[in-house]
Amino acid sequence: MLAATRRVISSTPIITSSISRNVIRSRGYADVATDRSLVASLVCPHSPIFIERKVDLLTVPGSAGVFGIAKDHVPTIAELQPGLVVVDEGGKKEKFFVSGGFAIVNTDKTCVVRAVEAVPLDQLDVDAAKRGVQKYTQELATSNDNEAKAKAQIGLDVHRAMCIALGVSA
Amino acid sequence: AASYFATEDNKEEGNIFIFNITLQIIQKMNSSSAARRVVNLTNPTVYGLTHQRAYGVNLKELRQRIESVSTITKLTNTMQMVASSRIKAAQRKADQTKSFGMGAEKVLGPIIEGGKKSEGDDPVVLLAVTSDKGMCGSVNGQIVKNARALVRSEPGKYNLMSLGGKGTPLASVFPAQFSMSLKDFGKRDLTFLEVGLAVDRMIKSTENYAEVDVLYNKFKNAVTYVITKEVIPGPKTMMANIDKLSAFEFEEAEETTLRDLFEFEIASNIWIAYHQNKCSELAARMTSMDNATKNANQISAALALDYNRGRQAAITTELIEITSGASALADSE
Repeated sequence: MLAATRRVISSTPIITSSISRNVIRSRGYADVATDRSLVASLVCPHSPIFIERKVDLLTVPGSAGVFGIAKDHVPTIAELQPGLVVVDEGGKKEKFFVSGGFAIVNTDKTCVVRAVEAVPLDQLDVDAAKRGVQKYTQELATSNDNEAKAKAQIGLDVHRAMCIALGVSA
Repeated sequence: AASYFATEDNKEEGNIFIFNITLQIIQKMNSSSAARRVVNLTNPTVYGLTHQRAYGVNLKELRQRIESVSTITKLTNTMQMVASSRIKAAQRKADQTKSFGMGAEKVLGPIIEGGKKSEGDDPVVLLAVTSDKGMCGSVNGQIVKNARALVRSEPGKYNLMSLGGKGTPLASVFPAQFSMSLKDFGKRDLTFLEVGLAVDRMIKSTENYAEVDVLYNKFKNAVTYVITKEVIPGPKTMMANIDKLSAFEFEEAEETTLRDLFEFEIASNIWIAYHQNKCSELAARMTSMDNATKNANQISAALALDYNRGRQAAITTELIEITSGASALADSE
């Protein structure tokens, strides 16, 4: 058994060296799949949503704008605004609504999205989102001091983002 | 009388002599209640108390001790059972919350390890994570000892804060540096909101921090927990080391993002540290209460033996007295 494997090992260098003379890189199917993927994690305080999952594209709602993270994305530190995190994997899309947090793409090309709250989009209640927009618009108009105004603004931003994510008009 | 007690050979007789004299004196003092109690001591129907001197064993006292030890055993046993029933859930929670800190260590690691210090004398916050309740082994003592050593080594540097009631001994040792203590933190199922509010209060109390150190017990398994210190560099420190972050692209202005990241990191670290410490606390309580129950059971067994021996000795002495009295009467007749 050992002798057989030794023979195999000693023979492969001969084979691969001949190939490498003609081809720049030889790849197997497995290599192609991992090459295209980004290793991403989405974590929340109460539990991680997914850790080190191989995805094709991760779209995150940065505070300066929505942007997509694919493999070999430049290392980034981005604060998040309320919005959708879309996970593209093999053609399937998973949508999560996040309330805010940070998205960090590391120098080793892994990506971590740390959200304060993240829920699958289908778990959001459309009516509650609409009601929230109305409630906080009213509160923003009637509040006097800065703190109350800030709270109302935050509530309004989050609920508006929810409505946009759900595809309904506020 | 004095010369009578001086010699070694008649020491035994001397003791009995004193006892008898005292008894006669006290029997003449009928008004004093203390005298009545002493007289009761001579009442042969109160088991063992008449032979107090002879055996050094007071049966009533022993009975009380046995009762109190059994109460203590019940308490420690209950505490051990409660802790062991809670530890599984706490362990699961600690594992789930651990991953929330992902991603930042690679960003902040180079700054923590080889970074330049920021200018100025901004204080370093040392946050000691302790429990509210005691009887949990060395969990809190360890933290307090560690914090004390750190502050003693560099007195001007630190600003002490305590999460949990058991960190307040630090306030009496370092009254000048101790600024805040949070009791009943997370008493009702800690939420991230509560952590955020605590961080808000912490941040508002000082203009700038050079660094925030979180000191807690990291849970390894049911018998092991390790003191860990998580370091979060302050916004000025991060800006001073911006060259280490040159590889990173910032979506918005670096200063605002880093300041927000600093606050987010404190909250995230407190969140993780709290759950780890809670787990360590429960594990320590489980082992210490288990040991206490075992010890109490041993004491209880030893006391029970003593009590039975004392009771039997008292009965034997009574019998001897009765029979010797009877034989003395028979002789005299």
